[in-house]
Amino acid sequence: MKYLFHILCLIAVMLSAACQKSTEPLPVLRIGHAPHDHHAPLYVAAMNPDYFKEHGGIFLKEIVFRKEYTLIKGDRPLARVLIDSSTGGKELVRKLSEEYFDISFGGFPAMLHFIDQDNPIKILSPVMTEGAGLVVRTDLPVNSWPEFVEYVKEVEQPLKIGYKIAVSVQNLIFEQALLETNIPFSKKIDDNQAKIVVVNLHGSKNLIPAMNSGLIDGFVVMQPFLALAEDKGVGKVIAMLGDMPPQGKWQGHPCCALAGNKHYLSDQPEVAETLLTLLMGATRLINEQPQQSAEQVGRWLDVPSSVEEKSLPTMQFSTDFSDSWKSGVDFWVESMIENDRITNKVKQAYQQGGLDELIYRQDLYNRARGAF
Amino acid sequence: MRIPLSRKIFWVFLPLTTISLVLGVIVYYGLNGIQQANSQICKLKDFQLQLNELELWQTSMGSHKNVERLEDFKREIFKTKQMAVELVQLNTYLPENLRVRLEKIPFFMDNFSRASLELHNRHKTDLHFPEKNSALLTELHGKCSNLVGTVDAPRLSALHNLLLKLPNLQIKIYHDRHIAQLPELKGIKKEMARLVDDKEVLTLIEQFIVNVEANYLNYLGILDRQGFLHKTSENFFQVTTETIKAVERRNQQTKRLFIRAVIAITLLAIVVNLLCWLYSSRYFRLFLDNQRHAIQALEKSDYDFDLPKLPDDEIGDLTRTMQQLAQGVKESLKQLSDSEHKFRELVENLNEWVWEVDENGRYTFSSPVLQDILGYKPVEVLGKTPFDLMPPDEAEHIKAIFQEYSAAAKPFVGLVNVNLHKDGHPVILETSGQAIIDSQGVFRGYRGVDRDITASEQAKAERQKLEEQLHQSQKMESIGRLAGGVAHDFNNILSVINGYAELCLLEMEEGHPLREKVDIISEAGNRAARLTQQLLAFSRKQIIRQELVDLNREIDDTRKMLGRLLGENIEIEIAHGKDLWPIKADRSQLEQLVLNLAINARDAMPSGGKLLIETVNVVLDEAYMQEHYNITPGDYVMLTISDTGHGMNRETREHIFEPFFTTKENGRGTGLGLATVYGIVKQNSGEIMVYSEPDKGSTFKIYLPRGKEESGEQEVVAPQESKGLSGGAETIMLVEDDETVRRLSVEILAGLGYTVLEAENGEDALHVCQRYHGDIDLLLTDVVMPKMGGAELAEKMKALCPKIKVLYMSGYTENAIVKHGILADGVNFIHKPVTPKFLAKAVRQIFE
Repeated sequence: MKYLFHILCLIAVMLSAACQKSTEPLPVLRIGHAPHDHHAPLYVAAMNPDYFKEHGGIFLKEIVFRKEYTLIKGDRPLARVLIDSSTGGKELVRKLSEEYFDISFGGFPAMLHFIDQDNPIKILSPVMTEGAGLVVRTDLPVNSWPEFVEYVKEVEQPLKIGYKIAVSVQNLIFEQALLETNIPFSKKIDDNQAKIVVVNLHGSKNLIPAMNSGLIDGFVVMQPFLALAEDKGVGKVIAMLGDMPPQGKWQGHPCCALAGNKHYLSDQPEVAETLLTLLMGATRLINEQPQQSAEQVGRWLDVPSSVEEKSLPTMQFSTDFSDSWKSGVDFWVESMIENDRITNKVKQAYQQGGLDELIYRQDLYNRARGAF
Repeated sequence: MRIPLSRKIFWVFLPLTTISLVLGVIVYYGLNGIQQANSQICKLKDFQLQLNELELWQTSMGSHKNVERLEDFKREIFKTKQMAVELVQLNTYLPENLRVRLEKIPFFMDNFSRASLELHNRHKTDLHFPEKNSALLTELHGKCSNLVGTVDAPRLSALHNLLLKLPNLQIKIYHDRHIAQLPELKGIKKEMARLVDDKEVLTLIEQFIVNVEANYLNYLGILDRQGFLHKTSENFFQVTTETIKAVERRNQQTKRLFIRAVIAITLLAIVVNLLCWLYSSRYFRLFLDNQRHAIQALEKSDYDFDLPKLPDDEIGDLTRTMQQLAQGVKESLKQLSDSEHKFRELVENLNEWVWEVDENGRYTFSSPVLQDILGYKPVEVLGKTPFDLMPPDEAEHIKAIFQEYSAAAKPFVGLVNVNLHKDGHPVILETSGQAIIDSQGVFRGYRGVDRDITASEQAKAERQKLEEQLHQSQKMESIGRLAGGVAHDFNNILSVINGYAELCLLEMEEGHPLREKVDIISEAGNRAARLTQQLLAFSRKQIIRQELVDLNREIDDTRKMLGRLLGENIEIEIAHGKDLWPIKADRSQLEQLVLNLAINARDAMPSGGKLLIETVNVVLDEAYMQEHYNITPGDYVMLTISDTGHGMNRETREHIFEPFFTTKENGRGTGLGLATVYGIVKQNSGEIMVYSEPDKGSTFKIYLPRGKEESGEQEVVAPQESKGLSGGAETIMLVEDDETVRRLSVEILAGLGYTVLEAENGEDALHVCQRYHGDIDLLLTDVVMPKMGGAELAEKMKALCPKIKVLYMSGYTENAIVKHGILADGVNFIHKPVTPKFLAKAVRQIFE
């Protein structure tokens, strides 16, 4: 019996060893962003671990600068964070829908567009509003939007206005403003009937060289390229998009938001919630410490801090679903429906009154807000 | 509830079978899953290879050669799309997000396809750009050449110089993608506008610049599309790589799960096996314990053993069967014990010796009766052979027989053999044996019985001896009867011869010339009469008169006669028995007996020797009687007469008492001496035995019954022979059927003065008596007569004449007045042959 008991004990040990669950690795959180200061809360969050450790206990522990971090809540690592960038808002959102990213910053209209196409995306939080504008060559005799309109109408040759990408918030607002001011525009470079030729320069990095070489006469883009162009003396900001017609419609317009892949949010709600809480803190820090933030954002983006010092104040960083945000959303939706850019889910939800449920993960937001 | 053993075994093997089945299914599905996963991984990697192929296409699209292979490129794209669609159809488990991403690959492949075609078009546009602008440049050169005459030479020269800069700038912008040269290009345009005011030329230069700008923007589009395709491809790679990893992870998980499941099930199987083993071992140990307990109990002869609770199945039945078997064994053993006890008692109480010997004839078993038969304890003979218990000669003889039988393993029955008792005396055994044959048919010895037939053999010998004695007796009786019969007639004849011879002598004077002859006749008649007496004596028909005599005195009386008879060279030694009992015998016969034996001894000792006569009292018991059936137990006086003569052999001993048997030379013996001795002994209720071996002398032992004094016994006075005849005047009735004897008797009696009435038989005598008027004083009658015997006649005569006296005369003794030759008390008798002297005296003695 004793012998048998020993055998049974041995078997029990072997069974427990065989059934023992191995230590699971940290979940990976892939965050997408565009390399500009609209997504500054991410950079500020990554660059102030000590601050956030003391304030809230949620922070990103740096492993590789700008590339890899560990999201820590209290003393507990929650996720391995991989940060990657893409050219613009639409690309980011596309990659988010393709699950190249799990959570990404991106342009709000692009997010609406992809959600409308039934992509698994949920908006987690507003990031910032405005922060984009029109830059023209310094030699152009215009200094404001009305002057620009007058000038365009007067010159024989169409002005070439560059886009960083084919579709963007800035493009939409600009084109809407052209329509409002009855300035014909075209995307064909040799269209002699147009007063404005919009040119896709396939990336914001091409904007300043193109304008510097005379390829374009100006460009519409978000910060910090506005400030950068001015800083390099290549161009001058003649209007922020909020100033464009229809008058007042674009004041506080939603620009960038934080969205997540629906599957990831379902799989790792705690990670998403924790990150959201951290970004809320970073947004507050940007607003509270603009000088420091400009410096850090400039360091992240490899631009002079002076650029960011000019750029950041032109943006309104906020994670609140404020009334202006909501009205901006409504305007965006209506505009996009009007331009046939939204035709499916979002359109139905907007028309039937279920837009927020369709596009937001408000439960996560509320929990993050509660934790914040 | 009874659960059959087969069902229990089924329940033991069912989990094992189920586990094996589950294990088999798991192994099957595990391997199948792994194989499927490997197949999926292969597909995913093939897809990645195809993506690489496409990327190669995309990077090489900048050449004229490849840009023309649009159809091939489309096929590659289509092929890639098809592979992407196949990826969607992968039947594998993936995380939901990854699965969605994978499923979207075909959708993104459309974008990818469009982007690829867009890239192709952009490349094509890019490739055709130099050609297009070269044509413009040529045209521009032509236009400028046409300006000769309209434009002065320096401006025309400057114009040409500006035109010459255009190719270089175009090359820098186009090939080097140096858009920074664009202001210079636009500066040329401004310079040309300053130099000439030709609209066509300016339009051409403007077109040239627009082309350059468009081409640069196309180039940016190429970069964008390349970037997009690269990123998309990278995404596809990432998705497929993650899918591969997921599949591999899944595969690893499946493998781990599979291994764990196999290990777990194996361990489970081990546990189940151990439990089954435990259950089975406990079950069978219980069974074996019960069996052992039962067997040990059986070994201890405990047939009423108790067992723990038994399972209600065949095993339990088997154990219960053991109990039942034990009870059966108990019963059987009891029966066997009873039987064994019975047979042991039988064997032990059997007078027959039961034994077993091995193939070498050595005893392996002996029943206890051996001690009674041969004096050995059974253990003393174990290991010995039967031949060790036999005299050497017998052993050799029986051993030869045994070897003959054992060689053929034959049974033997009634083999008589002589063994030696432990104390040395021979014991005759009758042996029967049955061969012991083992199960292999090998002879293993004998088992049998020995019956002690010593007594029966002795009895048989004795019976034979007695039969011989009987036969001898009967023979002697026959001879005696014959001799008696002859003697009777002889006596009548001799009565006539001797009577008349004696009468003649009485009447003849001395010197008569016939007297000598008559003497010879008379002497011959007397010898014949003695011979007749000897015959009667031998045949015990001699009429004797027994009286108490002292044998010692009688022997002493004959000693002188013996001395004369035996001669001087034979020493006579007489040993008198002390306080010798008297015997009842006829003196004359005793004398005759001693003389005859002495003569026989003398003849056996022709060279002299010693004759020993002993007397002693002996008491013969039943045992002695068994050996000598014709003698009754009681007190005897033994007369032993031994000689140191040449002795006798057995054959001689067997015939010595027969009449006329003699070993003496012809003429020296009559052959009646010992026969007479024998007759005398027998007639006196005695027994005679002879012990003799050749050259060892002979000993005759004669047992004569102790005589006792009886009242009223009359002294019988034998007729005394007298020299003269005296007569009387009395009347005598003579009854004799033999006329010659009757005539002689009448003549004798009448000659003596008596009145003789004669009759031929009893009836005549009675008639005579009745007719006779005087007194009849004496009835002299024959005993054996026709019609009426002498005794009956005497009775009747006494009725007629109460005072009459009776004198019987007879030559034959077997009648009413004589029993076994012995006269009844008070009877007067005279035996034949009757001589005148004896008759006269006998009659006279009765009257006186």
